[in-house]
Amino acid sequence: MVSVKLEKVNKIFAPNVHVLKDLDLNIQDKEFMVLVGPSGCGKSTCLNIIAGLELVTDGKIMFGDADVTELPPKERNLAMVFQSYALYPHMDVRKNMSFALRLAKKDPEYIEEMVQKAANILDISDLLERKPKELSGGQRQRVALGRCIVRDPSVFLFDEPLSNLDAKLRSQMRGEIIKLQKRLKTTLVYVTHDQVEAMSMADRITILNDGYIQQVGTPSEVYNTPRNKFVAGFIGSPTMNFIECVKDGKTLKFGDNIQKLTEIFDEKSSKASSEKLIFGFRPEHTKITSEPHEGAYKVTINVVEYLGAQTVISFEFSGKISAMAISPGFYSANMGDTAYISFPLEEAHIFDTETNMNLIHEVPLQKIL
Amino acid sequence: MYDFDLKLPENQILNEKKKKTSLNSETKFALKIMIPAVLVFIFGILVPLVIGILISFTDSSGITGYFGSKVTLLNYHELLTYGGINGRHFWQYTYQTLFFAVSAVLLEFGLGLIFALLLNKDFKGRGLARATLLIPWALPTIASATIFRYEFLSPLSEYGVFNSILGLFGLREISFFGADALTLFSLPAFIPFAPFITHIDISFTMISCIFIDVWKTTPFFSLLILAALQVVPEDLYKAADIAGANGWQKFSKITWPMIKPGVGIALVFRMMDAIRVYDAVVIFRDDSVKSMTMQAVDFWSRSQKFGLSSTVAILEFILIIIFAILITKLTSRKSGKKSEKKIEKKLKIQLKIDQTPSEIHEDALKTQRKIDLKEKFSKSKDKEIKEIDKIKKISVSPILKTISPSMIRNYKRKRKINKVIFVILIISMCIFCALPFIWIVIRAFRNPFIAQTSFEMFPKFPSLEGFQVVLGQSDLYGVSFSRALLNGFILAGTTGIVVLIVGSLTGYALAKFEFPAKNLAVLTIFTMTSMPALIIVIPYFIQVKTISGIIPFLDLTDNLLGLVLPYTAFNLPLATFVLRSFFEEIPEDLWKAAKVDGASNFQIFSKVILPLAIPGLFTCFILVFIAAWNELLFAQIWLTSDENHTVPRAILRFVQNPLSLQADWDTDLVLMAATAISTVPLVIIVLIFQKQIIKGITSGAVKG
Ligand SMILES: Nc1ncnc2c1ncn2[C@@H]1O[C@H](COP(=O)(O)OP(=O)(O)OP(=O)(O)O)[C@@H](O)[C@H]1O
Ligand SMILES: [Mg+2]
Repeated sequence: MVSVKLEKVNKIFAPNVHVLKDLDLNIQDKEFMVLVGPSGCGKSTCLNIIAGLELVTDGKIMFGDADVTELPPKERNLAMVFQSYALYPHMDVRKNMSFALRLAKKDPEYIEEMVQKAANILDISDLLERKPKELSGGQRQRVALGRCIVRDPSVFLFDEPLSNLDAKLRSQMRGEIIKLQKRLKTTLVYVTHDQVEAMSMADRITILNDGYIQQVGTPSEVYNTPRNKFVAGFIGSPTMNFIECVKDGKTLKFGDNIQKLTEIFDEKSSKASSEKLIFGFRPEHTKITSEPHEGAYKVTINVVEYLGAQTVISFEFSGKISAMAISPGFYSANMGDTAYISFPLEEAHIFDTETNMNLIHEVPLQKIL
Repeated sequence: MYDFDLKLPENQILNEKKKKTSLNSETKFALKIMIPAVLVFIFGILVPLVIGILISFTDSSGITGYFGSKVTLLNYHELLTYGGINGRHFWQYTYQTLFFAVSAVLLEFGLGLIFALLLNKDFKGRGLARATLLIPWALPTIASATIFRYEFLSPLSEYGVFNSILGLFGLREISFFGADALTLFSLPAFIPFAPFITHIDISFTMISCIFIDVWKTTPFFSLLILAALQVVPEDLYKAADIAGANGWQKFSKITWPMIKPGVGIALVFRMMDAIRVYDAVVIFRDDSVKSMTMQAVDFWSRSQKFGLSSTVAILEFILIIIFAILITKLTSRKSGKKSEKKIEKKLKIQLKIDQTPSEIHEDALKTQRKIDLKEKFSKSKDKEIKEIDKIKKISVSPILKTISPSMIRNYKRKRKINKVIFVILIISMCIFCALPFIWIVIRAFRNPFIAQTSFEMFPKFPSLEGFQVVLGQSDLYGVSFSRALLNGFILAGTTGIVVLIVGSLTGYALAKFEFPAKNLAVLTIFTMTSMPALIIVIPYFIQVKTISGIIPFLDLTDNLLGLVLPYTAFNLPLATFVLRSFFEEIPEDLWKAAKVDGASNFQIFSKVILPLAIPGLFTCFILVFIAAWNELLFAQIWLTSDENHTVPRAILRFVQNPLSLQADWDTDLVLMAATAISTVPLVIIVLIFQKQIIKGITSGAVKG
């Protein structure tokens, strides 16, 4: 229904807790935008600022062409789902869902109609008379969603709505929320600290850390072309392996091992601020065998975790450099065994030690759309 | 399914059996540690109560002896019918008591709610603001009544603060109390042909008393409401903000329905207290503010009609119970019971174990039907969504059109104004609570030997002589404050320790054990709080006198130690609930770990639980100490000789002592010095430990 734009937004809580720093963010109309980042990085604050629950210390918030920076929440026409669901415990489901409409003095018939429709969409029509405490976690979740739908808002704001559910219910609700958003075509800003949730739901992901935006991009962009070491490490599980190394001509040296660089890698990595570099590769982009193969390093196996579809192997090489690899299916090895590992250069990254920026893929912070 | 369901109850029975046998030693332990509380209850409450009821049916008096010479209903008849002078007084004073209690509690409720809502907001210095609320609470009621009576409300000729301020603005003097206090209105005579004592009207004195009570108890009340407010999670307000609720709607639709039960309990407690009013009115010595309690005390001490005195106390107790029930009804969550019933029904359905196969078949059919219905709905979902889309197209998103610069300016202005109002309210609240106390301290340093000739904001002749008079000479006039301080310290300290011992045992039993009649125990402890002290104090006196008739050694009348038992009985409930909540916070695992390590029940209690609950014990001690230190009614009846005065008793005595009027120092100023000495240490302690105390008060109240 509307696009949301944050321009140079700063939020400082007294006395001097600087939570958001020069935040610039464009959220498209009808977009599913996920804000993700470690705990305490300012995600909820960001959402509260969009909602108008907190006012910016500095900067501007635009809904479409309208500057809403100074408007209170009720003028912004949005709906929010909280981690705690924030259902009013003394009202039944129907009253909970219709609360905003009743406050707006809408026609009772219209209210009932909207409640019924929302309840049908969410499969909670037979729960309308119940109080929140008589509902299961998943049902509460649905009621909270229902409360948003009936408002027909221009923006949905979700703050970790699934974190109180168990794993199975969470993945089910994940699917339902995606479907709902696609059907209703309402702009949605979704906060989570779970990168799997972010990857699976988002049209685009915004990765926040320490009050700064690290990167904004589609799931595949942030996975394949992380802008810096933080994004590279945050997205993907198990996390990317980072190995400190030294550039020596057209090769990288880590420990006793030497890795030859291609033309492009050599050229791009030579822009680094120093000789020291960080080499990054994902565990899933490795090949591990018990016999030597071409371009492989000799490593010592530490821990082997068999997960069914794949095996996660942590290993050490060249003296105390530890890393992880994933092998499809079952990989049999014991601690202390020797193995051989290689990683294709095309899928690896090189980061500057000082700026932490990705030297191979120079990605803008946020593509101007 | 069928078989499985049948097995369940058997398992349960087995489990229960196991529990019963394994808990046996623990139950015994729990019952054992309840014994002190039971003894306190029997000798501190139950026996006196029985005696009280008994003598209310006899002609017990100074002539016929404590137990009277015959059984009679005359006492009730004399009070409840309007004929005689006593009956008319009774109606009059009951009316006054109710007028006082209802207006005071309503005012306190309104003001307390505002305070609590202000303090529930997050702002710089909130801790300090909350701490100031404790000041009026820590002062003895008699002391606060004294401050107002002799400093704030006194006439212009005595340089009363309010009247001096009125004078500054060129306004007329107001007589806040006394013979020329403004008559506000006559009482409606609801027994037309025999009115109450007709020459008493509600006058300004009553308003002054109400004001004093409001000042003294609103802060405490607001702490209780603040505790109740904690049940509303922050997110609910956020959700309501987003739903578009304004401040009033947030309060009326969310806050109030959620805090209503908690506030109801606080209201009940306050109402009980207000009906028992004594300290706040006694200082005025004015018939137009006499309360039921005062009438009973007069029957006891002036005309020695013990039976009548007891009867008044019992009627007062009945009144309290009526109000308690009324308030509880009004504030209970009506729908609460309904939903409980619903849950019960659901449970019943789930627990149907003796279903016949045909019933099971029917159930299966029903669920099948439900599934069918669901499928139908999900098919119609797409349609619904299309319809929602249609509605969407009609309702144009409002925000895009309606923002104008003037609107934004308005919002900015509104926010600023709200902030300013908030700050002003908070500051006024703090001044309201702290100023009278600060005033005492300022005035205490004024030299009492130099007569005052004008209103002084700050003392013109600062000196310490007021304190010297209080601590030194004043025993010439029958009151020794240094002695009173010592007495208060002994009495309050002993009571505190005894209550801690009994209360921690009881609290522990209630927190960690299940035992037969546990609910009964809680209920009993609870009723102890609602008892007017008056109903106990006279029978207790008789009880001790009677016992000491047999064993002279136990004559504890006019002895500080004699008060320890009733004080313990009256403070035990709060202490028990506070300590219980502290014990409950100690993780269950710790208790299990100690058990596994081989500690006995008592060892667990003394070696593990008690050390961990030290903050709780400490808080509890302060609460009880202050309550005992400030108690007046019991002390007044019990401690008759001068050397046994406690502090509030000494203040009252000082105020009422005609001898002191002949002194060559200003009585009011010396009184302020005396009040300062007896309250400053308390206030300092309370301010230092404000966090724990607030926690103690509120946890005790919420659980209770
Ligand atoms: N009202 C406030 N006053 C002061 N500091 C605050 C306030 N609200 C949040 N903060 C601080 O701002 C930082 C960001 O908080 P925020 O709640 O936005 O984190 P988050 O990213 O949502 O974390 P989480 O994943 O744990 O929910 C935190 O360090 C927090 O302590
Ligand atoms: Mg958060």
